[in-house]
Amino acid sequence: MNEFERRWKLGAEAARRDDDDSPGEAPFGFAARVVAHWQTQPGPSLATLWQSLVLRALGAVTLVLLILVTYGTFSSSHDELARPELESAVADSLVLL
Amino acid sequence: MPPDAFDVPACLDRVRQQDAAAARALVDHFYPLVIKIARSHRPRRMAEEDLAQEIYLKMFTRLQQYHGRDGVPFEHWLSRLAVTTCLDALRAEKRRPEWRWADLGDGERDWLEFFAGETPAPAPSDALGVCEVVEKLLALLSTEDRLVITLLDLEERSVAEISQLTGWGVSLVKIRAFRARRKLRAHALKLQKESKL
Repeated sequence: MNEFERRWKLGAEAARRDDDDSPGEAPFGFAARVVAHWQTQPGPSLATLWQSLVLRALGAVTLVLLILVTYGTFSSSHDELARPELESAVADSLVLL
Repeated sequence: MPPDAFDVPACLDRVRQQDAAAARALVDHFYPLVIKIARSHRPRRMAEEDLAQEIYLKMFTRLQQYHGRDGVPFEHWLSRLAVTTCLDALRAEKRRPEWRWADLGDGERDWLEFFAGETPAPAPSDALGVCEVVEKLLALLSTEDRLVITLLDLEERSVAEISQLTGWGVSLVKIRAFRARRKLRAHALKLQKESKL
């Protein structure tokens, strides 16, 4: 611990001592006000619901695309005709014929 | 009803069914927890009760996301929600204050010189001054830095607890605290330099 940290700790300790008033009960009417506010809050708007739906759909589409790309990459590597040396050999034999 | 007898899961079930009396009981029961967090991490221009109200409204709106079966006590879930709400409120307060040496009172100056000093010196005795200067120095930090120092040094929470409250990893909490203290020192030195001009 450097000198500043040591001094800062002393300061924080002194600040803690002075700020030791523990919170008591909620002021009169506070809970009623909060609850009334909550109950008058409008539910989620159509735009918000639409937005969350679109985001989920976008996520699903991205996932499907990723799976297709991965599948395409691996399946094409097993496709022997896609190998250039084989393709050239087939083309050469066709020319010779 | 004594605090120990408060049945949180039953109350939550009733609140989910829009029971206003249960909602009021829930607000009253968790008021000390919520107001303590709001008081420690509120923006300068926001009343602690307004921030507490914002926390509660968020709690009611997101109550469906809390499932007691996950093993997370409701207090922990609410504390985390309160901390993130305070962080958002602090972030929304875009302008950070710029303190000058001339803005500080005598007690605050004594503490600031003590923080910035290198030579052995006794800590000043002005308790009010230290609260003011600590708050002013913290206000100069970024929202995240301020939060980590308040939780770690002023509220004496453990690193694991802060990690749980903020969602940051343990190493990130330690690094952030280390860097925040370095910034505090730089601010203290800068302010002290002004006194010599």
